Amino acid sequence: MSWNPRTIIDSGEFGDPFTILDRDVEMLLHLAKSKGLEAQVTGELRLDSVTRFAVSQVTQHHDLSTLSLQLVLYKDGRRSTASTTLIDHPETLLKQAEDALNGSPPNEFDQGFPSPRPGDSLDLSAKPWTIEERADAVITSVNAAEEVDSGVIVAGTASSTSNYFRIISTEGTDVESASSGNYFKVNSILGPPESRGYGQEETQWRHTMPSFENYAQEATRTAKDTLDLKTFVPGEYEVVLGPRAVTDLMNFIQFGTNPVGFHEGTSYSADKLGDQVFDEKITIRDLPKDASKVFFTRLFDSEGIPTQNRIFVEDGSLKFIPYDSFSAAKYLGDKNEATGNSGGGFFGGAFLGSAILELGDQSIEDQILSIKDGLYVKSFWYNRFTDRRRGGLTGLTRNGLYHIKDGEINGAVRNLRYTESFLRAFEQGNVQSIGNESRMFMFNTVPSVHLSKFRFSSVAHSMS
Amino acid sequence: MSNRIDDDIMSYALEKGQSYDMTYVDVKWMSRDSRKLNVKNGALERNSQSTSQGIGIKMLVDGGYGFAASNIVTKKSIDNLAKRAFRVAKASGITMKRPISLAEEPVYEDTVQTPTNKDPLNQPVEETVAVLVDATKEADNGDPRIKARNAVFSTWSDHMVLWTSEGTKIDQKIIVTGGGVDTLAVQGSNVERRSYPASFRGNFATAGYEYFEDLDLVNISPKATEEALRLLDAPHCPSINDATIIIKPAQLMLQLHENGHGFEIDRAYDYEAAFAGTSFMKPHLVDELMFGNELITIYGDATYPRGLGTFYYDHEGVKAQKTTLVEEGKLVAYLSSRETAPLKGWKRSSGSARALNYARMPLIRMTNINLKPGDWNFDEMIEDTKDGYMFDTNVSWSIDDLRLSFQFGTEIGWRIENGEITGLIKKPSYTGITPQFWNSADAIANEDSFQMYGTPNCGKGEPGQVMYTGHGASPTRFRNVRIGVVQS
Repeated sequence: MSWNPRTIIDSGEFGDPFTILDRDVEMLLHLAKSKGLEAQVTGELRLDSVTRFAVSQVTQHHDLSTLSLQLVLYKDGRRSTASTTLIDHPETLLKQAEDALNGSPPNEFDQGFPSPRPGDSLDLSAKPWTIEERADAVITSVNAAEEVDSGVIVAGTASSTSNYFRIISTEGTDVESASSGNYFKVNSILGPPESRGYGQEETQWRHTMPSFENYAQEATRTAKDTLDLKTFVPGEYEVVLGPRAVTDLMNFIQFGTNPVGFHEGTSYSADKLGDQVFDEKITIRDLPKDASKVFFTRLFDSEGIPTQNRIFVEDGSLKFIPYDSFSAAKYLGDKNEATGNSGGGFFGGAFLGSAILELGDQSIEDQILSIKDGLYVKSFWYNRFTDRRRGGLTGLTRNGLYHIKDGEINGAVRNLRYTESFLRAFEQGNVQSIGNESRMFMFNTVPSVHLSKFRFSSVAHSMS
Repeated sequence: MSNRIDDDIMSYALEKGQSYDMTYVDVKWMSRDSRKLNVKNGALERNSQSTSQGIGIKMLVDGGYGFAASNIVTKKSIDNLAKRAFRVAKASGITMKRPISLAEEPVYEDTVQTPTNKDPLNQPVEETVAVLVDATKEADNGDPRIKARNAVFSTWSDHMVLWTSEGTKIDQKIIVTGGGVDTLAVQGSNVERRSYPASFRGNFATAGYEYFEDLDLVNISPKATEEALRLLDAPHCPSINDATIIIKPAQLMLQLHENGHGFEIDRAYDYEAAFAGTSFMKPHLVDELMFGNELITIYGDATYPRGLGTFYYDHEGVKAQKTTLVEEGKLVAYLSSRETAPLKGWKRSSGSARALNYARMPLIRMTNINLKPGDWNFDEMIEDTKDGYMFDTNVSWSIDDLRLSFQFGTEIGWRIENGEITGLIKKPSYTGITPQFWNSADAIANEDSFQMYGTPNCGKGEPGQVMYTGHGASPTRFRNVRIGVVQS
């Protein structure tokens, strides 16, 4: 049974934005056609409701609704894009795009808009999370954290997002998609200003509300643990990376795989399609249509091409490079080789944003139990490429780094900076096991991973 | 697509907000007009124009803030916004243990705009594209190892109309223009990129189209190509624990930026603990902590001409200021807002609260974080360096959540031996601890070598806000720095 994506908006609260949206996108396409131009028009409605809390109280509370229009014009290899949140002025938007088009030289690679393809109609909605429920979640979290330690300072975020878009084009595309989701994060801080302990837990969620109490108490226990730190010398350590740490490395693998980097030679994926680049235990799927498994879901990409659930890395082998229609035309010679991964100009035009790392058979407790002397990393922070071609990254541990001794947690460790390549971290033979339980994050859903070695380059000092 | 807000809509929104049981309300209408052009290898690959506008109502109720915004600017929509702002403020208010009180600020009625000679949004697209095409053509020397030659132009205009229940009425337009070139050279798995005048879309200023013309991209682009190719064959930056390095402004600007986040008072008081992080410069350290040595004086200066963080009023209606953050090495102040200045007992905000657009609440954002120039002639600084390295143009950056432990990579480095530059090094990197690093400075070049750079994409907050900030510095020499952390 098909799902009506327009039901994602509560018309009782927000009225009927679709009448305006339909009128403007159809008017724009009509106006462009009447001038002999090829056009693609996107109308988007986005609702963001975000509650931020800090020092154990709400500090910011945003409630946002945005209706926007994007017009892309194309003629004889020339292309321009104009977008606006100024509704009711389609003629002005058209003129702006037209002026820009007339000032453009033709691009020999550009073949125009992709041909229409049929897609699915699936329910990608989440349980609505009201303003009052989020304020209650804040109070619940603070109370639960204070049960662990009455001196805790609690911070975090509780948010709810809904997104709807319709794309129509002179090629005949006319598609719509909608999705929604929720996010909860709690941070706990303990100790004097010059020597603090920090903990954090977070998750995206769609239908099953997480236990805010459990998350707040786990974060507070981590903050308590990290008040008393051992200092480890930098070097290579056997590690268990918790799901929050794995998601950071996965983001770089996903966004490092883009058509520009692949073809220009700046990406780790260059010359590697079909090759084994990771350990055979690593299988990654991109599942933009599976709302039960991933957070970033959509039925169509930003060009109106249907998304597809597909294999990205299979048993360690790189199987897939994403393309939008421009990069497909430029690098493959055919705009219709586009894969349904267009990000609307970001990340080299196409990206993988809905990945899952397939589960293994080890619980995180089993993974820790199997280590004689190593580290457990709960999360990373401020990760950046140092060498895109080699998958080189640097970043720091944050919100919980623990020593593992003879299979048991043996105290918290002062944060370390890592300087490591994800190609080396996940290379054949270095992945000991994959965890059997996942957590959902913005662009991927991942379990813990046990690695034989991981390179830390320096100690992150504190002021104490 | 220039647009304006009518006074009667602003007046209606303010009155509607004031009709609720609140202690403060402001109405902020903002619009952004922008244009971005990218040329790669002589072909136009991005030609985008954008206009966003809308209105936000921020309300203080029971000591808690509520904010609602929409791009539908009608009286009916405003009725709903005011209702929702009040509702979320009430929901916030029930959690408040320390109600918000605002630092006082005079009431202003003012209309201001960035001075420009040529409106960048009204320049014909074809003229700018022609410059960019020429720049990428000039960067082509026929070497097959050159895989990409890029030239970019960006401009935007942020128009804010802010009315508050205290009587302030500000109409402010900030205009930004920028551009740059870069060349990508690839030989096997050896990848080098060289950018001018800075990496990541070039450099930016609050200025008109004349700033883009002054960048002279057509004449600078061959240098990017030449250096990218030379870097392919250059030796790798060595691994040394106690090197002497001179950092040029196109890298030092990002050092100032990343360390500069630590001066944001919301971080110092844990308001950003859940996302951006906190600061090692805790409130009790003001007037005590030696951030650097006596050579180091750092300003937060929202008034610096053409700085990317230059404006007239912040988004709480506070007049732009020049604040000394570090005076001869000592931490003396923070960047603050009306909500946060009272936390430290200060009576006035430093005027640092800005929002991405109509749909965001203002956060404390850096303005222009500038290092006061020293008295060294730059050439004499090199001559005085017997065994060292010089780094320029950021390519990689990472710093911990306290803004204490950092690691940077740059596009290019030079070897200095016996007071002379003797060659290039590739993949330079350095790491350190913020106060140790700034205490190791032993020479700062004079004002003749001072350069302003802009960082247009500084992220902070949830929902995410991207802000533009400026950073000025002269080349500065540091001792005992660990370099060459990143090895292949």
